[in-house]
Amino acid sequence: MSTYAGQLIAVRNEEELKKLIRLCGEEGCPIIPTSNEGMPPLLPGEENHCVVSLAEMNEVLAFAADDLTITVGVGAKLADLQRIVGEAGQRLAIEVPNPKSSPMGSIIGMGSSGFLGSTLGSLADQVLGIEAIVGDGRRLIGGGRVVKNVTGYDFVRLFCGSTGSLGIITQATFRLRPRPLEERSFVLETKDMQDAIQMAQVVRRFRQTITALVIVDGQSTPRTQETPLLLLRSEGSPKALEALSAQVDKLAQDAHKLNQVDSDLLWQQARQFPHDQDFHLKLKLPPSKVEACVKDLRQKNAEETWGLVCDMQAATISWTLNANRDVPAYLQSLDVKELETKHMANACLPDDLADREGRWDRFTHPEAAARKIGDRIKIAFDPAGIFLPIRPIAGSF
Amino acid sequence: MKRRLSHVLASSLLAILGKQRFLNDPATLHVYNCDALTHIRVTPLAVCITETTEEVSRVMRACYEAHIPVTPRGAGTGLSGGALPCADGGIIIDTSKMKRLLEVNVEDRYVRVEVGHVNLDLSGCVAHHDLFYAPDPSSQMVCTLGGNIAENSGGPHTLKYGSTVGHVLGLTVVLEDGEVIQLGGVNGPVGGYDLVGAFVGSEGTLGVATEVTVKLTPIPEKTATLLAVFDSLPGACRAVSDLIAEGVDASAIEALDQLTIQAVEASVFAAGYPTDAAAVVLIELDGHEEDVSYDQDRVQLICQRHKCLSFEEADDPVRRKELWRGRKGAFGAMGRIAPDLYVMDCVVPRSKLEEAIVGIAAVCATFDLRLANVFHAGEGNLHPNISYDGRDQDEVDRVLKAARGIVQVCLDLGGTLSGEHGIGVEKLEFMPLLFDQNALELFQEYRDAWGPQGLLNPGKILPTPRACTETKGIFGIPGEETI
Repeated sequence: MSTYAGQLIAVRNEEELKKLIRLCGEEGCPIIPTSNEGMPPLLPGEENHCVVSLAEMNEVLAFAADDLTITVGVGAKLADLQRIVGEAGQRLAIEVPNPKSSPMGSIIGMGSSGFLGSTLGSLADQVLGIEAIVGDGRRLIGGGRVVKNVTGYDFVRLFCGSTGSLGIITQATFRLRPRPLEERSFVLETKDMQDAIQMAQVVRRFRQTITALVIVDGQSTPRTQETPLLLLRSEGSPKALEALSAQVDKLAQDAHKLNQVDSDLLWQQARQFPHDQDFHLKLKLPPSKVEACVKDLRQKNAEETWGLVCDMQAATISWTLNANRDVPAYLQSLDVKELETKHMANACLPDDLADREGRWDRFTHPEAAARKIGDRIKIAFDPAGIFLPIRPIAGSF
Repeated sequence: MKRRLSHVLASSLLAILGKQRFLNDPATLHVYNCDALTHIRVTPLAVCITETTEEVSRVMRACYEAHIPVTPRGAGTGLSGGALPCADGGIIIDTSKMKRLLEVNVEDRYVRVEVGHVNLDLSGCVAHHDLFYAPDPSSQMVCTLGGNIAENSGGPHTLKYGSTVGHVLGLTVVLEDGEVIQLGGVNGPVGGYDLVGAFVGSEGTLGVATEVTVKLTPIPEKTATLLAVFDSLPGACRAVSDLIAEGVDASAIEALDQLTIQAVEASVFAAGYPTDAAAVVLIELDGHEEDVSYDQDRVQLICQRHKCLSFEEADDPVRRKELWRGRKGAFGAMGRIAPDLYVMDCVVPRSKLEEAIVGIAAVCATFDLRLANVFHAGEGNLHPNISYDGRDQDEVDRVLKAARGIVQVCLDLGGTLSGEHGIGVEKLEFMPLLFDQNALELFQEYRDAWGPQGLLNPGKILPTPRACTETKGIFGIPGEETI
């Protein structure tokens, strides 16, 4: 048994982390990083892992407001950073379900920038540079602190969405963006899912900046709602938003256009919807396939499906089940590969249900040859295998 | 020891490609002895012009079995020597004939295409659908997507739309042993490591891309091109820094200095820039009409605050095209200044533009060199252009010393070695200035994970390549023939 098995160890700096990783490597003790203070929930088989907390590595190392960049320790929380840069009229173009409790290290590991991703770039587009400690205690450098950089291999892209499987990130530099002049949300009550999807397809062709375009079905909204809602968010100059408002009015003439009521709540709900459920599945697919795919899901599993959210810009469908459903049986009945093949989709499982051994056999992607490259990269950076394998939740969507 | 092309390998390659596309006569090979970085030259053992993924795979397999390094090449417009063959003897795979358009999906906004497709042609193919392919390197009229992928090419509009990597959804890649793999797809890199993102910008050292799926972007409703004229280059840089700091949402901010302006105006690329100006800044805004109009006013105010001499707003397509013609033709126009041109590529934080420009000018003055600046100012991506005569060895020596000084100026300001041209062979010797030994080793181990034999484009990116013995060239890096 390793000295560190089952321990929660807080490190304060890179040197301490290096030392711990080397010791764990020598003892063959697997490491689970957390950027929170307490012990995270562990899955069966993880009781003997060493949990390393990076919560104290949360400093703002450099905030270059004139360059629109910020460099931070990975324990820094997104909400805190948004407040700091917000005072300079800037923002990070990253949205996560729980920004107050989401450290930047976890956000990079998960690899998603939320609804903004389709308009302002993926998470990897927001990360300019990283430093990490890999499995033998060496420091890895990827990118830098400037906004354009092709020096060396792109380890930023490699680490975004890698679920901590290659090394532990210690600090990262993020691109900042000016806060928008004005933001506006619109909520449309639609007749049914088909109507909602078709309306969304029209909105996709609007020329204004659409920062989010999301369909939420009845059960996933905070109000009792029989039919799906189409949520639309935009930003820009007041006149551009007025023009958009007129277009939305025209689009919504046959639908019921709600006022700004509950707008914030609706967005929060949409962001948190799948993440707050015990179980959810997610598909990414070409926008033109969304309608048929939703129809298939509804027909096949109508009684099990409890809520569904479509991000119509990223073209993702997330859904969850009624609380009393038998999840293994549902997964057995749901032929993920068939869904993927029929709708040119890629599927992922939720964090807490993804097999931590990295079971990819449910999926058509990535193909075996690409996984082989991934496996070799994993071995190169983590020769003793002390970090968890990459899990099928990964992927920046 | 210098490798030779064995009869066995030559016969295999000939059988795969036929006489027309397997080139090994010295006169033809001479054409392939450099890319657009012309002061380092290496002649390949042979050139294989491939037309399909299968051919690339078979060529790679044959070279793998013969343990001969391979370098992929598109149009050869790269500026860091990335398309040079291995100095110890290597083969070039020329993918520029692989230019078929395989699929256009307007509704889902993507295109699948072979890598020899020319960048600008792609936008031309989809313009009638009100879509375009956003990355626009200056060489976009001739450069290929394969080269763009290898270098993670940028261009003026990277400021808003990002570099090539943000537009690539999927790739077909041939590995060093000839295995063909698919990375990503129409949904982008989903599941597992982002190997698409990690492959783009790898300078042909991880695999040979043969097909690519790229995103298309809707053509903006309104585009306005603005020309601000300044009486000093540092003054123009200060204005650019303020445009960024004050959050102007420009799609491009480009700067040209006086020497560049004068070269452009004397050439076929003349754009109507005032030749007595010390600098001009070209700013492009695009988006919804009202957003563009709002930012246009802000840009003018900021430029006026920095005492711009004049300010032109062009929104008619003819004038806009003319203004861009000058910018995009600037490198070509510099042929008027001297027989040779060294186009450097460094990046500094955008708030340090003025310091960088002053520092670089001082370095060039020290070595008595002619410096022209044309650069992606909005991103801090500098292109110091040194005009010289390659026949004058003393001047060449001074150019190379100045290059080191310029790199040092940028690194001292918190910058980096390359924003869009790559490391290639040009900047190998500078990598240790930015990365310690551990970081360089990790790069090498990562590279080995893709190709354990190190046969793909050795001698690029990393200073101590494994499959390409170092022979000191002009930069202290591999190179057999230098000017």
